[in-house]
Amino acid sequence: MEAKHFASGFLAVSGGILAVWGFLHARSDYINLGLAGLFLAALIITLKSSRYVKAETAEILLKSHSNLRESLLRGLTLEGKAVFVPPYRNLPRGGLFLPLREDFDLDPARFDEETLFLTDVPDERAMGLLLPGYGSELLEKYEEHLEGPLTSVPEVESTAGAVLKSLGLAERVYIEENEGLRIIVKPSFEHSTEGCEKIPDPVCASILLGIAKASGEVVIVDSVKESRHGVEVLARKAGRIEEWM
Amino acid sequence: MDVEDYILLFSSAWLLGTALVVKSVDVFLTLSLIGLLITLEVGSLFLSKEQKEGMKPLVELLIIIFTIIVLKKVYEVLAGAK
Repeated sequence: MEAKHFASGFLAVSGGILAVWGFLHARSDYINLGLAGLFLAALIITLKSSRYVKAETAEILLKSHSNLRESLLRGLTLEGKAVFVPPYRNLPRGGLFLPLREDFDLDPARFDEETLFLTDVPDERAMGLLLPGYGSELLEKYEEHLEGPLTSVPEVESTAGAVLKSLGLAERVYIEENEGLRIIVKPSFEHSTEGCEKIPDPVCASILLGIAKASGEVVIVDSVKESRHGVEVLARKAGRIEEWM
Repeated sequence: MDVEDYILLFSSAWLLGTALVVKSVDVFLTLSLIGLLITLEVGSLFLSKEQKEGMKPLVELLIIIFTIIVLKKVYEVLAGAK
């Protein structure tokens, strides 16, 4: 039993007694107060989140995520930067491709949900690490919030901003689309941006995957850095997936 | 405080304020419905789908009560006109 159950239980019982007493004695002010208590009980049980993770705990979890990322990148010596692939037949949830070489080439026909290391390709430039569905869990939350699929970059900005704020993950999300994409995320907790241009953190990854899905284009990350507004990601769209086939 | 705490604070202040100020039960229920609809509309950006779904039965119940109140008033007007 949590505090919210005690609070709503107390309000419901006292509100019910007050409302019945008011009804029996024909006192509308008591009926109103009793009903207010019942409504408040329902609101507390609905609105108060029951499960919390401490910010420190999230930081510890993200620390181990960034350690894993760093050791993976160090071990594999991947030169390229993150490439977000929009969902298509082979990758229904989309994904992140980290090329072996900087002058990479995409071979989407060889991508699938089971492949992690893409080595069975004729051209070395198409080799790399594939993370299917990376960031798709948060993206599902965005679409759940929107009650439909993402179709434009402004939609990604508004839904990501709202969902990340309600989850306590980010204070603000700003996306500017000119020749390239400039994404600013103000996270709610401290985290390192080291190696983020290769494997972005799940929050940035969900936004980038969202842009890839909304535009139907491949999104290439150019840089990730800390700015005074938050984490700044510079990226660019690189054509539809069919163009890479 | 989280956004949901502010939403809860607003709803509590609205419901208690209305209950203390208004004398009629009909008016109180109508104002409660208005308050909940404002909360749902303004707070929808910051509420999860589960929270919004959880609030809907209460709003639907109040809409049914509001419909009954309106029908009762219409009947009273029509009965008074005869």
